Amino acid sequence: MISPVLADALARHRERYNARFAFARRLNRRLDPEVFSRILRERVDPVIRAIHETEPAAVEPATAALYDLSLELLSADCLGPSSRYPLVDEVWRRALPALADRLAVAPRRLAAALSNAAYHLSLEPRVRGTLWLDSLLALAAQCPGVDSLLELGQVLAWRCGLAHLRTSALGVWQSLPAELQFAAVGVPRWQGRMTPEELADRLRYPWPNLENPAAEPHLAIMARVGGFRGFGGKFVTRPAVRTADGCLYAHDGECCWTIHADCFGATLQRFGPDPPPERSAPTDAATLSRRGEMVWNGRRGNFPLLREWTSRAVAGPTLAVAVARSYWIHIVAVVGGDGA
Amino acid sequence: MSTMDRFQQLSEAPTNPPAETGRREFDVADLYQGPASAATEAKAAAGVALDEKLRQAYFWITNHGIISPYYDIEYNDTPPPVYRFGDRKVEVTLPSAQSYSSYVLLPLLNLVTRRRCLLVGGPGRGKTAIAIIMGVLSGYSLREIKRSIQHGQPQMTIADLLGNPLPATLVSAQSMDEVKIAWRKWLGMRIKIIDEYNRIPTRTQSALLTVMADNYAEMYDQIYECPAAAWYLTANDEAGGGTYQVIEALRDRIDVVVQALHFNTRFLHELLLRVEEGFRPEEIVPEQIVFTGEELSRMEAAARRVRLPQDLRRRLEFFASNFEFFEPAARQMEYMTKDTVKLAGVEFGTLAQTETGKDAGIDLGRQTLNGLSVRALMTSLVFVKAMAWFRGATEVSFEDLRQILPFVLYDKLVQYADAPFFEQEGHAAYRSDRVSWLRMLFDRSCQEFERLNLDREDALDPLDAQFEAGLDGVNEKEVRRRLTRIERTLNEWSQGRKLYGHMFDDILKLKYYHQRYTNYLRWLLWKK
Repeated sequence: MISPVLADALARHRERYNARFAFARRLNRRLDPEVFSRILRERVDPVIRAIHETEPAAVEPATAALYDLSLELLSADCLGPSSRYPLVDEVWRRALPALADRLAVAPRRLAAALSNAAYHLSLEPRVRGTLWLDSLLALAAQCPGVDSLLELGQVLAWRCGLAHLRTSALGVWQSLPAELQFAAVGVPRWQGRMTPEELADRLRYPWPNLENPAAEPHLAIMARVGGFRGFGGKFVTRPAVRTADGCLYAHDGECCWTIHADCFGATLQRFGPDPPPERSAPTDAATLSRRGEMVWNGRRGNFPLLREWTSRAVAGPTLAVAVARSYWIHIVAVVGGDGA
Repeated sequence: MSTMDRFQQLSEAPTNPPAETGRREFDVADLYQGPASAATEAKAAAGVALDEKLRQAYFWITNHGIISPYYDIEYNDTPPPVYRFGDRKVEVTLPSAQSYSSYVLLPLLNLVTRRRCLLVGGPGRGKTAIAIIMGVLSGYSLREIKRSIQHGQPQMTIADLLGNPLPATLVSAQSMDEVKIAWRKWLGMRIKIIDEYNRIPTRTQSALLTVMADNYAEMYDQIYECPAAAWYLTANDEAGGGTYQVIEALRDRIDVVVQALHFNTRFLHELLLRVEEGFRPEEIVPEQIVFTGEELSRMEAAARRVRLPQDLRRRLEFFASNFEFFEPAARQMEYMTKDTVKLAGVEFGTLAQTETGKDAGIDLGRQTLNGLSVRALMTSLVFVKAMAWFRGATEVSFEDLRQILPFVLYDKLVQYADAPFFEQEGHAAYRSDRVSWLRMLFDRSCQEFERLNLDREDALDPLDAQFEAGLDGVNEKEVRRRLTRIERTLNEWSQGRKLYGHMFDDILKLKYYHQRYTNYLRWLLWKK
């Protein structure tokens, strides 16, 4: 049973809502009225009830927005039992009722934005979607408006692993209030008595040691990306890496990706069928022996995983290495300091 | 693309975006784009171009709203394949560029230009439905639109149309200006729909005329100023039939006429789906294609800014000059117009028979009973600009002009159905197919324009340029030289050539220049 609040709101525009469902079903014959009824009951109703408690006048527009949006997401298999994106469902189950006060202001915009963010986070294999949602809900009280809440969500998505958003997310991060700046990147304010300016300085370098800023910079394998497509990865054959225009690329003979990595995560983003031409021979100061011994920027490291490497590429402080017997690309970096 | 994408995210714009290849600059804002379409306010903030939004509206209506699988406004960027059918060799072309359905496009252009569109066609063709969709696109709820429709009927009074005096003030008023009027709500709306306007009694039509023509309503000496609005009128019979004859002034205020085409029976399954699933397109117009009042104003201003190149303006001038001239109407050239005949109440056909010897293929004016009014020309300019703007262009193209003119002139250029032209083989159909007739007139006018080489050698061009430069500092000698040139041109033209409509306007313009220079010369001599 749905609550009287939602029932009334639906009844007021019954024809419109029925027509919307009929039209959606016309375009997608798989739409099951039973499943949609369950979504209305289990996901939309709690949100509408929460909105009714904070802003009764917003119930009607919020019902219209959430009805359409849930129908759209169900049609796209992003919500409901056949969804491959459980984080989207988590957003509807946990986040939307908890954010009712802000949802009352811009129901469609906020619900669509958070659903889309959950969808993108679900697409990347090693991204910590649950951490994103937990952090968002924990820090939401510090964001009075819809815009500030969405900005926080963007920064958190970067922190939870969407490394390709680093440059623009860093710009958004700088506009957050100081307290939120620390919390958004998971650094307690008291740690090392770091000022916001110092934190900003550290974050400009992709591989800061935020947990132990005083530690000596060192070489480390920080992430791996790719994997065999048959096991849910990206590559159909073992990949090779290269650098062009200051950017790292991976290609497997069928497709080319850009590699994005920093201290929060690593992602591959589709570039096109072919890699860009290498303008000149790669010149980097790193040496890597066939036994996995590396010397880079005066620092040494021994990485058995990188034995029998087949290609390597450097972009700034990040080194990507492809090896002979793996579909993974390993990301090596100088962690801590400013990379010098 | 998922099915809901198709429903909510609307169609791609006709100008295909370049293929996305190569390295992208990732923007954190992309996080919030995805399978769930963003809200209207977010789209607005993203700055979707208005012409793009209008195209999206067009494609949504043609794909989901109105079953109008026709492409009668044809554009080609390469020669299109042509197929001929039957004894009469009926031509069907497959346009090579994006083409449009007039039944959807013209009402949308009317929304942009905020003019008056008449939708004609038999009952049940969806005339009112498209008008209602235009209302929803203008930001009104379905309920508001339905309540605002004025349904023409024989008992409709002026009070039904405009409003009522409040009884209390009517009793207590000492003078007319103390009477308060409860104006009808539709008068204040940005969309005005008059259903079956040819069923409105003549007296009420006159009240409607004031609102349509002058944008205000008047009752008991009280005035209600209406906002700028797009009008949609419907009629089953645009030829003046219906319960009441439509007064000519009202007909003249119609800016564009669109005919609802027949229902293509191959699309019966679409109707079946609508019946079975109870879906009505006007109830599900996506929010992303709904325009605010401010956006409608900006669209109108943007369309007006589209440039009309001079060579196209000249072709339009040449085309329009064909129709008003009527040699048998008078002795003095200025009065040789069809208007003179009409004002005199003389039978047009009788006089028309006295015109002989002119090439019927060139003398296009013989096919009409009137010429083009200033209003008709201004409306033509407004709509061709809107058409170019809709297509994302900054200036009008030849094809914009050619495609739009028939819909604007549909009611403006009255056909002389007894003209010998229509008796010729294969021409009888032009009597009923006015869009093709008007397009044929424009095509023939352009052929003549090119045959006369007027796009390169127009005798008036240098004279226009000289006159536009102004008379300041022009001395006596130069004035006399210009007068001589005008006289020489007129003399050349008078040597044994037939007098056609385009020459009529040219000769009168030369006379105008001659008079202006003569007066200026007299002033120069007096100053000495």
